Formats: sequence, C-alpha cells, structure tokens
Amino acid sequence: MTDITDIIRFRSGNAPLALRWPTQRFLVRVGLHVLVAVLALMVLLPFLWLVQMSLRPEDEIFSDAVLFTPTLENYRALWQGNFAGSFLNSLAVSSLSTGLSLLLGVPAAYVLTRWRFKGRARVALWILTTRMAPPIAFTIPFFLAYRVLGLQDTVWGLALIYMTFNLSIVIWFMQTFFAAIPESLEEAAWIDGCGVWRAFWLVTLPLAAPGLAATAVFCFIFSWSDFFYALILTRTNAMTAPVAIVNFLQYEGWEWGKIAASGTLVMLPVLIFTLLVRKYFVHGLTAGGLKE
Amino acid sequence: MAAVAIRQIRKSYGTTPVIHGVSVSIEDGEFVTLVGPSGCGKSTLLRMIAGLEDVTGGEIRIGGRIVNTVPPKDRDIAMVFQNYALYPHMSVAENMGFSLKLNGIPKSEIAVRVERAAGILGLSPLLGRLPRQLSGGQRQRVAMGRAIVRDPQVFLFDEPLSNLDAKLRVQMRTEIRQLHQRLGTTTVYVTHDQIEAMTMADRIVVLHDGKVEQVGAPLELYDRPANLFVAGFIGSPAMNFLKGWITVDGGAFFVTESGATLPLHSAPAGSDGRPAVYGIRPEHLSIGDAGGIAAEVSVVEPTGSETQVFAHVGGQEVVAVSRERVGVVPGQSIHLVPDPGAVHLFDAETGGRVN
Amino acid sequence: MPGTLSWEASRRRAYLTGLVPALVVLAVITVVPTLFLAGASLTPLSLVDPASLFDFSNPLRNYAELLHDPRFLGSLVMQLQLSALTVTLQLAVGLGLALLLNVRSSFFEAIRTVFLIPMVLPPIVVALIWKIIYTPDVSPLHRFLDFVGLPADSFITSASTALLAVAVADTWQWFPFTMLMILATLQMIPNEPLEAAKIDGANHWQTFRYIIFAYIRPALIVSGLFRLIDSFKAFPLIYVLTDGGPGSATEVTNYYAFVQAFNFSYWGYASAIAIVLLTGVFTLSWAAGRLGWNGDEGE
Repeated sequence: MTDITDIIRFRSGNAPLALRWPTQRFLVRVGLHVLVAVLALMVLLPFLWLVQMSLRPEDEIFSDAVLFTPTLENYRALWQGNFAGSFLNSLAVSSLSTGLSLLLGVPAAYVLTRWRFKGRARVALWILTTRMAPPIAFTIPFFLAYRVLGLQDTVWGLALIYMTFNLSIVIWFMQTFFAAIPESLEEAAWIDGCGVWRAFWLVTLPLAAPGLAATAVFCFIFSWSDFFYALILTRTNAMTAPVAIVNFLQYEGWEWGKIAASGTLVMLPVLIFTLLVRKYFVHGLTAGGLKE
Repeated sequence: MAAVAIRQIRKSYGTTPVIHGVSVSIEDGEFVTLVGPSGCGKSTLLRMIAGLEDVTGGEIRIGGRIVNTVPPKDRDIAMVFQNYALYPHMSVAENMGFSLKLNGIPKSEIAVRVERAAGILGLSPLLGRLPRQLSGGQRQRVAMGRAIVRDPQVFLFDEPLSNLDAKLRVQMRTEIRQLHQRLGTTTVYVTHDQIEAMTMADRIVVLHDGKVEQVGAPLELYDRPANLFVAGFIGSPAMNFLKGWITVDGGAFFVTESGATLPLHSAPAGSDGRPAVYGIRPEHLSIGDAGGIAAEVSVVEPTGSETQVFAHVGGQEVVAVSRERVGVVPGQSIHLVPDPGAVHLFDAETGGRVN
Repeated sequence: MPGTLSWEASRRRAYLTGLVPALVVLAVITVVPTLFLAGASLTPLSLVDPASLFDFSNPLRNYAELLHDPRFLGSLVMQLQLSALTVTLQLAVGLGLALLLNVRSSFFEAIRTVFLIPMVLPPIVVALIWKIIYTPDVSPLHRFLDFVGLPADSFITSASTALLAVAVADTWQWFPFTMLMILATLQMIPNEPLEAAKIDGANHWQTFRYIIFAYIRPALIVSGLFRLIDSFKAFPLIYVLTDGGPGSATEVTNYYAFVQAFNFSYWGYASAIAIVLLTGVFTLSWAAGRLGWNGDEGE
C-alpha cells in the first residue's frame, strides 16, 4: 500500500525500498498519470464550459444535449454590437499603458541596476510597495481628480492609472535582465566611443531584447485584465472589454451565448500571450518571493 | 604612440583609500607590466588610466596632456578586458569596426583597417562569425584586434590571459610580445602572474596594498629586489628567507636562528648584531655534504628538467632547485650551500634591502 | 581642465536623467493620491457636499464612526473569514497538487501549463465562468447534482453558502500560484536527506513531517502571505457573483469601501476605510518582506 510520500521519491527515478517489483512501480506510475489527467480535466472543466457555451446556438443553451453543432453566431452578434468598440478600447488602453511604462521604466531600471547610490534599496522598496496597495486606495483620489481634469471616461486617463502597477512591473522585471549583462561590455563601448545612453542603446538593450519582449507582454496582460479601474473610471467612451462583459450580465442576462462569447474573446489574447512567455512565469513568481 | 605619466595618484572609495600616492613614468613605446597580488590596486590603476574610474588625487598625463577629466573615449586608448568583453550580438568584423563606426569613419576605410588588423592576428577567415562561435584564444585575438584597429596612443591590457588554459597562455604571451615588437605602441599590461610580467615587460612595476614596491627591468628585480616583498614575489619557486643576525667577526657572517653560520661578501658599516633576513633563491643553493645550512630532506620533486628539493631547517621549510639529477631521499640529512654572490640581505624590521 | 566634468560625474548626470522621469511620474501617481486619500479621510467629503473637501473641523469623525459602524465591523469579520478560507484552501490544494506533480515525467511538465490556466485568465472571465457555474439554469454543476439526485438551490443566493462559494471560485483561480511555488521548492530538495531518513527507519509520514516539510515551509509561508495580501483586494468575483450579498453576507471591507465611495458617494468616509485597508496591507507586506527574505528561520 503506497501513499504519496513514497511517490515523492520517484523524483529522480530512485525506487523506494518499499516498491521492489517493477510491475508495482509501473502500475503506481500509470495510476498517478491517470489521476493527474483527471484532475487536470476537472480544473479545465469550468473554463471549457464557458468556451463550449459560446459556440452553442441560442436555442440549445438550456438543452441537456452534450453534442451540438458549433456556431459562430454568438460571436457575430457580439461583434455587431457595442462590444467591438470596447474590445478596441481595451486594445488601445493596454498598448498605450504598456508603451508609456516601457518608455519611462526601462531607462529607470537600467539606472537602478548600474548606479549604486545611497538609498537605492529604499527606492527599490518603494517601487515594490506601489504594487501592494489595494486599488481602492488609488481609485478614490483618481476618480475625484479626473472629474476635475476632464480625464473621466478617456483612454488616456485609464492608461495613466495603469502605470501605477505597470511602471513597477517594468522596473522590477527589467532590473533582473539588465543585471545579467556584464558591465565590461558597456565599459568597452565607452572606450570605443559611446556615451552612457548610446552604449545602452547599441549594446545593452539589444542583449536584453527577449526580456524586454516578455516584460511588454506582462504589462499588456495586466492592463488587459484589469476590471476595477475600468469599472470606476470609464462610462461609455472608454469602456473596456471586461466592463462590457459585466454590462451584458446586468442588462442582457439571458443571452448566455453572447455573454460566453464575450468572455472567451477577452480571454483569448491573454492565453495566447501567456503561452508565448510561459518560461518567464516561474522567474516572475520567484523574483519577488523566495530567496534564490 | 605616447608616453604615460602617472604622478602621485591617489584613489579612495568613499573614505577608504586604496591607492596611496603612486608615481610611474612610462616611456613612449615601452611595454610596462603592473604586477602584484589580488587587491594591490593594479587593475584600479589601469582603469584610472583608461578613465573608467575617477582620480581622487594626483595627475595622469597621456602624451603630455592631462587627462584626469577626459572621458575614456577621448583619451585615444584601447583596452583589452579579462573576459574579452566582445559584443555578443555583433560579428567579429562588426566588433572590430565598432569604434570606427561610432567616430563616423566611412565604411570603406573601416573595412580596410579591419582587414589589416585581422590579417595581423590571423582572424581573416573568422570575420563573419559571432563571438559565441569562437574558442577562447580566438576571442582574445578579436579583443586585441578591436584594440589594434583603433591605432591608439596606448594599449591597456587587464589580465587578458587569466581565462585561458596554461598552454594557450604561453602561446598568447609570445604573440602579444611579437605584436608589440611589430606595432611599437606604448603598452600597460596588468597581471598577477609574475612569470608573465618577467617574460613580457620592458619594465615591471610591482604593486602592493596600493603602493609601488619597486620599478625596474625584469632582471633588475630578479637580481636586486628592493625589499622583502619584491624578493618573495618575483621568481618561482619563491626565494628562501632565513631569519637571524649579521655578525662582523673578522669577516662578515650571517648567523641563522637555526644556528648555521653563513659567509657574506660584505656587510654595511655598523651592522654587527643587527637582526636581518637572509634571502637566497632556490636555484642558488647547491646540495652538498658539508658547510652551509644543515637540513633534512622532506620532499623531492623531479620535473625532468630540474629537481626541487624541499628540506626542513629548524622548523622552517627551505627549497633548493638543481638542474642536475640529485640522488637524495626524504629523511636524508644534507647541507644546502648558498652561492655567496647571490645573497640578499633585508632589514628585519623594514624589509628594505641592506646589501 | 577646470570646469569639465569627470567621466564618473558625467555618468552620474546621465543616470539621473534616466531615473528621474520615472520617479517623478511614480511619485505623482502614487504618493500624491495617497496623501490626498489620507487628507480626504479626515473630511466629510461627499457628492452632496463637495465643498467639504477642506472641512477639517472634526478630522477623526470618519474613524470614530467606523468604530461604531456595524456594517464596517461586519465587513472586517467577513474579510477575515474570506481570507482565512481562501488562504487555507489555496495552500491545501496547492500543496496536494505539488506533491502529486513532483515526479519526473514529461507528461507532467506539459500538464503543468494546463494547471496554469486559471491563474492567467483575466479575473473578470473567472468571475463570469463561476457565475455560470453558480446559475442553476446553465450550470454544469447543478445539472450534475440534479443527475445524481441532489438538486440544490443556487449557492450564491443563500447567505450561509455565499462566502464559501466565493472562496471556492477564488481557490480555483489562485491555487496554481501556491502550487507552482511549492513545486519549485520541492524540486530543489536534495535526495540525500530523504535517503538518510529511509535508512534511519522513518516511515512516510515522519519523512514528510520532519524533512520535506522543513524544506517547503518557507514557500508555504511566503505564498500564503502573498495570497493573504491579495485577498484584501478581492473584487471582481464578489461584484459579479454576489454584489456583496445576499444582504451583506459577502461584503468584505474592500467591497464596503467601494459601496461607500461609488454607490453612496461618501468619499470622505470611503477614504477612511481605504486608509484602514492600506495600513493593514502595508503591515502584512512588511511582515512578508521580513519573513520572505529570511524565510527559513529554524531550518
């Protein structure tokens, strides 16, 4: 009779002394694979349910039939409505916010990596804490300020508040990528004839390009996925896709096909991008948590 | 090509001084090595000449011009780094031509100069390759090629051979020396390996704890080291040091702590009874049956071309090196006879040379 | 040359120009609003009385009121309950799955991406998914319950189950986070202590308790703290699933602040709640920082 702790010792292929017979080991291994596959399916089920709902014809939404002929009717109806506008707003805000954050954050990250000045640790800590604050703390002041400044319900207004988290993401991530590039390369460039920023542009940045791309993707995903700021700070002009979904729920709560389609559309770019940068995920998780 | 003059250079990081008033004068076209143990400040000094580090006090002149506040790119120098510092995303040709491109030199001329440097270093077939496709020795040559192309007034080398294996290091040493003979550019070369310093330099600067211990031609440092530190640093295996006193009793003698009495050619006036350190290089000790220092053999290491004999003398270990095959065995009692003309005497307190 | 900057000095100047814009923008969008928030929390600012922005006559009135506000105090209880639930569930599920997946298998490496999906989905989509699951008409869960003869009412419309329902949805979304952290640590455990334990005669439970647990404790603490801090910000799930209800059954402190600010427009009062939240989050973050970086005291 084996339990999970035995299975832990499978890790490097060492057979625990308790399981001496190959057939026993094999069976346990097979059983384990089946179990994990089932669990994975269970985890995926809610997500798959949404996707299949988006492809169901309207009249079959409530039926018990498992099989159906998939249709893109929901997506077509969705796109002909206001949703297209909100989708484009999401695109605009995310791109704008990502671009601004990169523009400001990348040079700042470089300076924080190379320049050892007093108080550097404190600045780094401050940047980290800006990510910790609950959004409500920023939303109230920004909401009131935007009413006065006329930035309420604008793409620029939303992009600006997204910088509260995107800037710190850019600085935090890019610092690690810049630190991996040896300073002697930049020193060689200085001797060859570059100033500080020219060497950065011609030598450091090209070498950090993959990290830059991954960081840009993360910024885009975080902006795209935001709900709270968009809910409070937009009305009709700058409404983003996540808010549009909730609108559907509140005003067209019976058109489940369309609602499911809107959810699937919003999630699609995120899934695709995540697949592209999945190897940076553990890097990002552990960079702020466990000591290396 | 220019002379480099370093005068009373001081360097502090914050309040911690690391270089305490170093002055060196390098002639136009000379090959000078800065040598010393880790932390002696040789790399810092080189980087100050390059302009990568600020000068806290003193003056650096290149070609007669004070360059203390001149940025590295305007000093007309080229540097070869320990880890080569080749731009990984550029080809060999692009690496070598980078500085010329930055200075707006037309592409045609860049091509000519790069090809010429590549020819000198045997890099012509590698011009299109990326650094990661090259071996260590090839990368080192590209780093040198990058420096040559600029045709600077001064070459600076920062321990360029430390990352290479022993055999390659010997080969590159000769190549660098030949390059210098061919181009004649003033060169400042930093290394912690005294053999490299001895074989390559016109003059050696020995540094220790941010101060100059001695400056001179290699053989000068070998034959007449100015103090204990230089004596122990130059030469491999290192010089043997025996503590004791100088006595003048009819002739000049040195009495070691272990009781041996060794003849001296001469002793400075008034040094009778003076505590001192007796230095004798392993190659100047011959192994015999009588006289000199009594010792007991501990280890014998034959290398083929010579034999190193380690022996105990009164609680201390002494090394003797002989070109001939010596038939001694561990445990044997022998006598180590020093060559009186090759004796070095140092003051026991200051470490300074006495004879 | 007098008047010319040395290289290091001109480098410093170059560095400043690269750093200052980002710091200025960051200061404007984080420090300024926070100061404003603190200031507003001392006033009775609201939509009906916008001029009261500068009314500091009774600065602590909002905080005093908070102490007597049953809805606020109730929200604190809700928050603690929700946080405790979600962190415990996420650590448990994360640990279980991490132990399960800690096997060398290319299948498992591929499967890990599947387990990542809940965490990377936009939170609003997660809320939507679970809204569907908790709506009996279209829910696979309810259909299954009907099928096995245990029909049930919607879990989010019943005060006794609403909080749990939200916690389950939150766990589905975030268990990959704890799972990944623990799995990464598990895979770093060297073989030797485990083998030595086996030779010493430890049984499976003892091996886990005395050896494996010691190695993963830092990961448990750090991921638990991260999830705890994040649990204070929970919003889309509650907004979509329950709207704080039924009644106030799922109205956590963050949500209460939202209601005060954007339903009632009592901005001064809401600011005070937000300041309370901020203090709590910062204290926890500080604790997390201290522990996370010296994670394994007693290892």
